[in-house]
Amino acid sequence: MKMNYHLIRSARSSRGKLELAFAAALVGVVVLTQAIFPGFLGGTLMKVARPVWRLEQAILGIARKVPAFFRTHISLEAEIVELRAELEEKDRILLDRDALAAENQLLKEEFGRSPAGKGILAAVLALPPRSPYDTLVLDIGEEGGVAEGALVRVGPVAIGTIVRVHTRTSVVELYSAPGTETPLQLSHEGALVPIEVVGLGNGAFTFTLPKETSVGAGDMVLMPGIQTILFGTVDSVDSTVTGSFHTAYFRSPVAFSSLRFVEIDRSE
Amino acid sequence: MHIARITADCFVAVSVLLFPWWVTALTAVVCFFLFKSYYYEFIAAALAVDILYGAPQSRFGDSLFVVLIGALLILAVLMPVRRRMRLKSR
Repeated sequence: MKMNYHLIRSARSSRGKLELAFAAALVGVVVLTQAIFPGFLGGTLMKVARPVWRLEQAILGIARKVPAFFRTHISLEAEIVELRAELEEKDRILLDRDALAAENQLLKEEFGRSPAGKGILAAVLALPPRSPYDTLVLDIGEEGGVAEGALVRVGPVAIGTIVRVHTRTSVVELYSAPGTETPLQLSHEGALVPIEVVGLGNGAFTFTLPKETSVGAGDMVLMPGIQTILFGTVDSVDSTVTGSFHTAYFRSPVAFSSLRFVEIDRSE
Repeated sequence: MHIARITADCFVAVSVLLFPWWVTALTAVVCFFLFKSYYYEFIAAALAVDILYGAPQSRFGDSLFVVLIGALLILAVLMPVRRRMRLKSR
């Protein structure tokens, strides 16, 4: 009995060791390959993943249309009326926006600071929380003229930078990735205050300022530079009586869960 | 058993591409306890997540393999737990 027990155990344990050695070797080979040929593994896996994500986008596109099919005429009409009213109000608010933008552009051109051409439009293939990283996968890469370090925006809102570029895909690291520090400016009553914003994940940010510096809800957080690139507006400010600092919190105005397209800057 | 394992592998592969990361992690942990031999696909899934979605993390020495490190740590914790569970069930 004893002998049999020992034999089985040793056979099992040697098999287990072999499996463990194989797994360790696999990890070693992959890490080594990534270190020697940084784009090879990513590019190969992306070639497999890209059609799957494209198919998913197509299916989701069809699925989004299904609820509208089952809705009644009355509820749709009510929603149209409500949305029209909302749009008209926004149009009124933005009435001088185009004129101001044109004037801004003209002034920049007169001082020889004309911004570079239009950005590159990219579709989002994968969003958080698909991975624990705060990253997006875009459907455009080297072939489309995307370069590492390029700024990624949604309208005037900066959301991240390109960190990896493959032939037909690229990976964007969001500024809100946990622990990511970004030097920005806080616009408070016309004054610009330099701040160091820290990402909290999922589009949330925080920063601290000495109590002597004023900060309030609604203050804009901007990227330093000639172009007005927005990060968000301050949502709340925490400060204790005894503490020497304010802690402010804000969220990106971009809803990442429903993000479908982004713009990649060529100028960066 | 082989069919179950292949099905689980396919599900993990699909979940890496289409589902939130915690679905993949949970499935891999369940599979780790479900199958007789160690579920090393756990590591392959972590590698795939790093290679597909990863960004070099300055906090981890610009390493791209943060999820892999996490998976290895989880594996190190789960291995003795699994061994104890097997002994008890015998």
